Amino acid sequence: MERVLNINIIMKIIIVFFSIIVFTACNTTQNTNNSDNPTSNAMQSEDNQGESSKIDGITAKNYPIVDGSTATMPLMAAAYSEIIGVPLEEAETFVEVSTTAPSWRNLLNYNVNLLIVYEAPETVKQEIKDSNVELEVTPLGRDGLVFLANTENKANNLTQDQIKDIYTGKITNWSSVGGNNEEIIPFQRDKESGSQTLFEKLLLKGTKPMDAPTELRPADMGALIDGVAYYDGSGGAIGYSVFYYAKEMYTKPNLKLLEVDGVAPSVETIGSGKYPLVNDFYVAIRKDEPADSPTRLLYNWLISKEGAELVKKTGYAPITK
Amino acid sequence: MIIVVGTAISLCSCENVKVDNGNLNSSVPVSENNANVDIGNSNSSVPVSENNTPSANNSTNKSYDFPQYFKFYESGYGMDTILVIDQNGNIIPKEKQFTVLYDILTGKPQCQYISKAEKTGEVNEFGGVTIKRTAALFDKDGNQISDYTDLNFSSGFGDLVLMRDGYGMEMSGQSDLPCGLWNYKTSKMVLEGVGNFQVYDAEKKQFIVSSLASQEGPEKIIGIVDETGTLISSPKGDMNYSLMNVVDGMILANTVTEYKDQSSAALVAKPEKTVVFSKDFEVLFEADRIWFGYNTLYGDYISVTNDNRSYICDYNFNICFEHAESENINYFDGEILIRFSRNSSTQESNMTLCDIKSNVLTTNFTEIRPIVDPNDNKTPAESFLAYDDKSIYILNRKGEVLKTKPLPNIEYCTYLGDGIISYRVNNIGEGMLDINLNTLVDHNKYTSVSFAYLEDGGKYETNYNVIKCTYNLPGNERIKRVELLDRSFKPIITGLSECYSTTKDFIAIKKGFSIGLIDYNGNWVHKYPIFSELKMEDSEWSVY
Repeated sequence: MERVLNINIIMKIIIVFFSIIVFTACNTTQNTNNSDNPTSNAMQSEDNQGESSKIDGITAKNYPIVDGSTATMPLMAAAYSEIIGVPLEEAETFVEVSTTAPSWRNLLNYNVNLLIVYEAPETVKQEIKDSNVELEVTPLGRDGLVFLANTENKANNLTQDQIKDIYTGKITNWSSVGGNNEEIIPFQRDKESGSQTLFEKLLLKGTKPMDAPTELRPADMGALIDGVAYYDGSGGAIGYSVFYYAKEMYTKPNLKLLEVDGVAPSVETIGSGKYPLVNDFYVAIRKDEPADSPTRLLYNWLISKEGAELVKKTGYAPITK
Repeated sequence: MIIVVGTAISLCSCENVKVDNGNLNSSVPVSENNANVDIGNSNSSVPVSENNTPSANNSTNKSYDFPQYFKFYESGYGMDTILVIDQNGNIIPKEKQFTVLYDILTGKPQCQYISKAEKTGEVNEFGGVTIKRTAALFDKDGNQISDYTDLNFSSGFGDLVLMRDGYGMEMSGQSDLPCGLWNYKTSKMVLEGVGNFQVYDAEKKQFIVSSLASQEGPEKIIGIVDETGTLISSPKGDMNYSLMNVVDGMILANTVTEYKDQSSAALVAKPEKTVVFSKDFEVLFEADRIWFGYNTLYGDYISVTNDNRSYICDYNFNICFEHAESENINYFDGEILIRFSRNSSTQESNMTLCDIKSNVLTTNFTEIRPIVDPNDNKTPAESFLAYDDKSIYILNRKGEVLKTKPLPNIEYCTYLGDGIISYRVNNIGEGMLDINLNTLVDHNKYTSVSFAYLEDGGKYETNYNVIKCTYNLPGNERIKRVELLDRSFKPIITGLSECYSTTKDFIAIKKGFSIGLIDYNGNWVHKYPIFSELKMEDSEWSVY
């Protein structure tokens, strides 16, 4: 049986030629929509939302159960808000995720209807292959592996080879790569973390990184960003994360994103693939979803031109190349 | 109705968004169309207690003796803390999170401490990171009054706090590090070796103190001390006693015999007998096992098991009622009792309301519970709550049914006090009834119903004026909703993702991707994105 997960077979490249609007998204949390009164009528929307929505066949009551990655939560909320027609803050209350790997399993186990999700770890990919469940998976947008440094650090650009050398212990001082005469403190992530998987897949490509002491291997993504931002107060730290999380979800004022091979990570450069370290994120459903099911209808909408517009509007990098 | 999504996802700001109430009230009109929501009409719908009267003009600059900390955590992932803020909306970093110590007698704040956990860089035998924990004491104003050491602090009395190796206790249950009563005003150890204490006589400000179990031996009663830590009396002779509890001036303790465990060569303490001491440590009574049945015995009674006999005695140690050892007495007040028995072969259980002569007053209920103030274990119940597989009942002391309400499949019910009965119906939900079994909160609507937490300078207590109700979204049970009711059981705040705690001014909530404090009108006072400190990758697998 043909495995629909195989991206090469099922991938439907969505090319969007709309002008790209950069949404900085900072400092806009207050005084938008009805968001300053958190107790606005959520119950009313649950109970009384009309049977109509932006998509015929989808209503608030039959809206599919959506799961996925933490970094795609804003997109899930934006989709609900757009389709059902409720304020964004209210739409956010309809979003819960189990995170990347568990969400893939939830889809396999019929616990959820649709994923907006990052790539599954290799072990989960094997579980999908071994299962009897066929999936339809389509890229929705793109994210990048980004490298973070303290704003005090004079180095702004690293080549992929330099980063490899830093993480294999060949380069140990920032002065070798355009920075201050200062020891490089390279943070890594847990070996099973998604960022580490991306780091090894996109950058190291088989090269073994040096062992990192535990204090330089934070358990979570936020802790890594904190670590790089504040380590020793010296500004000598370097670490990595994914663009959307570092740029939109967990920003620190004394951190900057480094250019890689002379390309700064941005929505545009990641979407176009000009930034060298990119990976897609996806919408996924089970292949046996009927053509008229709300899940299939939502899937079709997300991979449509309107869905691509929403991806852009929400601040994610669309796939433009 | 289609509302166009805002032009940006507002997530990147991790700064405190302090909302100006004036602007807010004018820019965000409260919905008047939603019959379920009564926001903005605080005078009529919010809690009415003086202690919890929400203030329409709530002051974010209200002064408190000690900081009010609001903790926001992620449920489901081991309760990881997302954020801690104070009442003014300031984010409190871990290294500045004070824990207030409260006088065990007066409930008033004594001083406060900060506990730090630092990675040592070493890996322990299980492959985990070794963490060194230290703590230091600070006065009310935040001035440091002790160095950071591996000793921890807990509440004491007067000017004394308990200093001990709390972290060692967590790991092994034993500690060899110093502990004792420490005067935080003079920075002097007053009585070494004290690891635990209980109030002996609140009026005279006397306390009974005992040591911690250590490799040198088991926990032992040291004696009774006054408010300054001066020893007034102590056990006589060579026998060791471990403290159980103190009730009405009687000290309940186990005699402890130590012996070497051959397999581990460690000292093991084996309880032998239970004794009741007077203040001067004269043995008043001794038996195989004695205990004060809190929330079971209403009045001056103790439970005793001796020589394979079980009975309830009065404080003069006269036998009031004898029963089989296998039988539980769930309620006793000197006149009537609730007996619980279970057939060991069929596992069928039965509750019976009896008089003291074992005459059955009523039986065949799944459960019978006294309707008594949860904080009063002296006053006999005037009536009882009972249920079977069909209905819930109110019984009088004769076992007669006063009220009945059909309510099939009750899983449990209990009297919460203040005229409220809480109950749960199997596989449906939880509700509340009044003492006449009238429905206050319908179990068909909520999966859980309870009083909200009242945050008071680190003390989590019950807010009897706010009821927290939770339900799962129909069609998507992964989505939880919380709404708050006032004591007239009307919704005052709805559509929340979580309610963490309350004060008289604020409610700590999560809604969607935001956490923070709202006032009792439902307006944000301090607002933060949940991603600001969220533990992102606690599960086996990662997120991007």
